[in-house]
Amino acid sequence: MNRLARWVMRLYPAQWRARYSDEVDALLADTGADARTVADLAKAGVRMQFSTRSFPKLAIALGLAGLVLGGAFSLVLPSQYTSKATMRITLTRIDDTVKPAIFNPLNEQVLELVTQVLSRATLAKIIKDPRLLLYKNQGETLNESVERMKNDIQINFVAAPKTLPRGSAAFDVVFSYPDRYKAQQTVQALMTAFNEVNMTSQMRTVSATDRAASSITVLDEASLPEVPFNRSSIFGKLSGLLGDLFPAQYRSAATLRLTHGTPDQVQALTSRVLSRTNLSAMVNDPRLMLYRDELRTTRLEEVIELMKQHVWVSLLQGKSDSVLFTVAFDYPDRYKARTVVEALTTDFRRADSEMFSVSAPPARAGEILDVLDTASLPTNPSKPKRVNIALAGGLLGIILGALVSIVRRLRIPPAIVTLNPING
Amino acid sequence: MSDPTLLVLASLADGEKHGYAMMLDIETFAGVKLGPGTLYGAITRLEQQGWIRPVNSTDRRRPYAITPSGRGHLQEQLAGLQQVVKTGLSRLRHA
Repeated sequence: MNRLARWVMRLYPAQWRARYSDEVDALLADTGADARTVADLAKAGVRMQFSTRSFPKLAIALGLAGLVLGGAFSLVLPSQYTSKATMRITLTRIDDTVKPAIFNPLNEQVLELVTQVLSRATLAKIIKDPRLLLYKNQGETLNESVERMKNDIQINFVAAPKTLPRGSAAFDVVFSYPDRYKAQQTVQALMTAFNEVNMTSQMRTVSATDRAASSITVLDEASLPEVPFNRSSIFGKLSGLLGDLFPAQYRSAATLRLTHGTPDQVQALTSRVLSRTNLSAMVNDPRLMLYRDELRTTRLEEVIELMKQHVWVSLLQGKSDSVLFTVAFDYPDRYKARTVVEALTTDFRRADSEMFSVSAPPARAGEILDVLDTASLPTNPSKPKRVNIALAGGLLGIILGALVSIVRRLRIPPAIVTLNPING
Repeated sequence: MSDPTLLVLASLADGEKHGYAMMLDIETFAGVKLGPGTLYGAITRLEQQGWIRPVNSTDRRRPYAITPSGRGHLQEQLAGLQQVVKTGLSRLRHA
């Protein structure tokens, strides 16, 4: 314990240690040290660090420097303007048998529309619109621009105002962009996309009703992943340094909708699609050449089990008459990952037509979309929050000042002793 | 009374002492066992104020002595305390 007590004395400023550590050593030799002694030394050491005069000076100086740097940094950041429009969705037929506490058809309808509007195809169309040409100077691929645009869009389901009729609700369409006119035009384009998707959806519903069967629609086609999903985090990047131990995995995903279906039906379809026969055909497909290395050393059954572990089928949302779900596949080759997801999508559609082609669907509630508030033309930038950034810089400076002050005092050579000289 | 600086000054009032002697003395007259960190924290502050001074010594157990200004400060503090004690006791008696 005496050794620990001596070690704890490192918490004291170097000047203090140069002056008093011999005496405290002698005292510890006389009294001995226990846990209480160590705690007492530690508490007094920390208190001494914070009560010395240079600590607040340094903290204030670095705090001010952080404030200035934070302010300067925030000025360098490009301004972002946010445009907002409010839309209203109204169900044309309200199913009174469904309790709102359990199932809110409006939320379901908006979610479905949002998924379709934020699909790669729709956003890519808006990005490439010659009037907009969004993100054109960023030097990134279309897929990257789509992902960036998804981050810049917000769809906020707002509480329906009391003035709205029953079966109606409102949601905001928000978009942020460095050019305020383009921000406004993009929100207008998104509203148009909402209307188009809604009309297409209703037409498809009518035709599906005539056909009297459940059907799978691809809302978002299989993506071509740009970066390995297991390299996106810091831990992923670190594991990347270990090379072959943790090979890069790309995840491709598609979003499907089973109209006039239930989650149980999706489950049944998944069992069919991920059956041994189906996966075995995929693994043996000479165009895909999946798991070649594994097949050299492992039996086909085990490779199929491995493949099952790399396939993800996740339910996004279940409604009374349709279900949204994603199909994803992880593989070291991104092109093969996409091809497999495309093949799985085809298999889901085939399985659906084989398994659920006779049941008559219920009539689906239609919806009307209209605009409550047109896209605003922002006058002031919404981002960056310059004051917040400057304050964060100041706070960081103060923390840094405290740390530097402590480290500096721990390392000052004992020669610089400015405490009172010892008199006879 | 648990202010360590006052306890150290009171301990040194009857002559110079090193750290360990002060610890034992304070424990005897005040019933307070000061840890080494607290004791030397108080010694540091008192020395910076000029109320005590280290005495030259070849031993690692360096003795300290109270200075005239330290003695004055102690007297002032104790007088204040005495007033508090006197008032408190008197009020307790008449309560």
